[in-house]
Amino acid sequence: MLFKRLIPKIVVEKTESLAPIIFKSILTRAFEPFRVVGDPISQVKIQQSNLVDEILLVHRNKGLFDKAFPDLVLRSCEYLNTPLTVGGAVTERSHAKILFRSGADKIIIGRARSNLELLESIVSNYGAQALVISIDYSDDDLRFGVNKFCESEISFGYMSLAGEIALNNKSRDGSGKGVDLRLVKTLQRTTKAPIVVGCGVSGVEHIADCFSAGCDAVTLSTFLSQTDQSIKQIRSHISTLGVNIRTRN
Amino acid sequence: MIVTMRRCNTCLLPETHETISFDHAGKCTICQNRDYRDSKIDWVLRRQELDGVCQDIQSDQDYDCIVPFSGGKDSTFTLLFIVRELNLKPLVVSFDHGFYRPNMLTNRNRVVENLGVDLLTFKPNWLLVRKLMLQSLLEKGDFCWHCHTGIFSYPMWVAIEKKVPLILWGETSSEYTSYYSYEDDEKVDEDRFNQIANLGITADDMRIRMGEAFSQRDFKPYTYPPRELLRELNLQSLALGSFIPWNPKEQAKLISKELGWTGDEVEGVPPEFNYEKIECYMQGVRDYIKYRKRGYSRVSHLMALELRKGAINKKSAEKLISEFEGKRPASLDLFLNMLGLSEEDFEEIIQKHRVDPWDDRVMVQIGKKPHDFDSWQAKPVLTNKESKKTVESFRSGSLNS
Amino acid sequence: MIDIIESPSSNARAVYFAFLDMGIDCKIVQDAAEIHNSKKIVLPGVGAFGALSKFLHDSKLYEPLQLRITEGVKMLGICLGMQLLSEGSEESSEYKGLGIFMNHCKKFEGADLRVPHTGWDQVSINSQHEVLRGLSSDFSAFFSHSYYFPIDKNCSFGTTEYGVGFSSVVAKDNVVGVQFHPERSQSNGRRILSNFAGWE
Repeated sequence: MLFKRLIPKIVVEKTESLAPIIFKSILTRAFEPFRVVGDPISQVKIQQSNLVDEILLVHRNKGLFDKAFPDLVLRSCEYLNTPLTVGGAVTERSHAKILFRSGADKIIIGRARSNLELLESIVSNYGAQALVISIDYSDDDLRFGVNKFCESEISFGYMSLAGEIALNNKSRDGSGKGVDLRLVKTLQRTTKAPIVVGCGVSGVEHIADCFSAGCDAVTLSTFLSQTDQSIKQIRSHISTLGVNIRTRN
Repeated sequence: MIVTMRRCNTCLLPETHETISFDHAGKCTICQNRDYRDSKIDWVLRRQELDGVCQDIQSDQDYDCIVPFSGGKDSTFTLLFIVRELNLKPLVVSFDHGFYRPNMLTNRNRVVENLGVDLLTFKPNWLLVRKLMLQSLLEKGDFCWHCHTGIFSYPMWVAIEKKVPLILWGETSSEYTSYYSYEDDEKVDEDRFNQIANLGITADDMRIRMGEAFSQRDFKPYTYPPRELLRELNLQSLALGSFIPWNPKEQAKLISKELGWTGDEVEGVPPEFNYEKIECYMQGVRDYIKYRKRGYSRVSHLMALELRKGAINKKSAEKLISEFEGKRPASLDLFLNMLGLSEEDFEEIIQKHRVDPWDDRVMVQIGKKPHDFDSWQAKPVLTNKESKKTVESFRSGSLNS
Repeated sequence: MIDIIESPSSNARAVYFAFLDMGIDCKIVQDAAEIHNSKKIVLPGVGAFGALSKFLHDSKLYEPLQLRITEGVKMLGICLGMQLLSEGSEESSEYKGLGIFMNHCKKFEGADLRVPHTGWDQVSINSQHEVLRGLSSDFSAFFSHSYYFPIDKNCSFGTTEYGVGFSSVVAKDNVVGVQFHPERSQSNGRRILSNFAGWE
């Protein structure tokens, strides 16, 4: 039976400090940089050692694809034997192409999810399973109701192309208040794609709640970075709570 | 409200234990590991593998192997075994975390002098260590980052420098946790370091989190050597516990008899377990923080070992746990003073690290001062002002790096 | 030396780095001349059945591959590469597979089934194979696909349940295929790649 997944999310920003570490991994609050927490290559290695299910590596760059980012992906993949999803201002086919060539297994696209031509190109060249579509929203976006918001997302036309849908509520990001699950049921009826949620975890019970709501995967950023609960520990703990998660290889 | 935590019905460890999970019968993964160890492992074959490793040792090296040494029962037994049973010439490497107790130093001298071995001690920069302790406490609710990382990295650098391609450690982690099972081929390598030792933060990460105020070379003792250097040397880093069955109580008796190793009074631990964790005077604070985070600590761990062997019944185990566990140790005052923290600062920090479903509403009892408490060395402390700056910087995010 | 075929969208490099990391000699190849003297071949694949089939035809690899296989050269097909070993797929009915296995690949259907089948799932070993040596009888691996190779008792060595039972490992003589990604399946995957390298 397909296991539920836990996915560490490593967000990176380019910094002005000296080489060799050009990109630093950061924590965000409400999608804005909050704290610099380390070297992304270290983090990829650590998560792989912890036998995570997948790794998500995102470059936060306000809509501008950075040519140095694929190089970071390539270095991350040097000894990588864990699935890797990458993203960060991918707006053209050439961006996707170079990221896949650098070792990415999947690409995550947020803002450009209305660019159907780009999405279709990725799907026809790499398959639907290679495309993760991220719906980044805030509590304010839901002020007219969940259904209205979902209708508007459906109208973009990407739902049938997505290999996975990722839901990220800006208002919960870095808050530790638990994950927003209001969109999950509606989206499960709208698309067959697996659903990944994140933003707001501060305890193991938040994670268990996501899986109880039927989500397929949960991304973790601040929670992993600022507590001593590693993925291996969390996996064991939520399996005790009845979640079907991989605990042994 | 007293929270009922799910516990293993054999060893009583709770669900907040790192890496624990339970089978359908309510038995935990660590107990299952132990069952496997006691029934399925061909220890004769394992010992032959160890002998094979020893046979491959080249005679032109300065030392046959490196033995990392903390002065505790496990590393002392390991050293005894390597010298007298395997007849190897080790270089003993001691990473001084800063909190050696007088009895540990006496033990160490006695042991190395009786065995006739070379000893190398390394004491890292205290001004950095105290900052690492505070940072690590904030980041992970665990102030021992410098010790975990130093103990496992520094001896690797010595091996590289001295061109000694074998390091022999003590017990495997599967004795106490289920990061690995006995079915796994557990090596003491970077994967293990990343799971168990560094709390999810490498030396580079920590340096960056501290605003890059220290250089890469300041962090070298805590940095795991790069793969290329280890491959070049063809370094093997193995746990003795992978090759022989581990029996801490019996091993403690043996080292007392053979080497005059002595136990000590330990904060928060029943006196009959005076062979346990005697080497570090911050052990009491460490155990206390674990209790506040997870609702169990060292006594539960010791009882779990006894219960698995059938050496104690559950009622007696529970009695010892409630009598000795969760008391505020005398060393906490020393710790707070060292790091320039008030009690309120401390409470605020550790409450953020509580692990579900433990709710940490307990009566705080006061623990007894151990006999050598007054000799625990005073060190240059962080001022309250310096530590407040670090705490504030951590809370606010501080992007200025 | 293991030759890894690189099609435009494949993740051949991930497989290449995996072998290298284990100290196994390998190289990436892109055309027919390069597989002329191959001792072992890996065909990774990602994307659409039709696109990979077309690539094999356009780069004139299609017949040489079939020939190498009849000559006994050992071959490992990964994910779409495994599906290409079949006759064809519902995904792209106008394109043919290599026809090593007389099966057709189908799409996952099912009211409550999330598609693609993405994540770690269990492989139950039905019959022993050199490539599966040392793995437990139910081991987990990483899958990422929307089409599957049905169960066929003549060639299914490992099966997985996802709405329907499907072949996660197929084998026949000198050819083996895995539906999951061994280069991304941590120690289980590494073992499979290493077993393939050591397969006599």
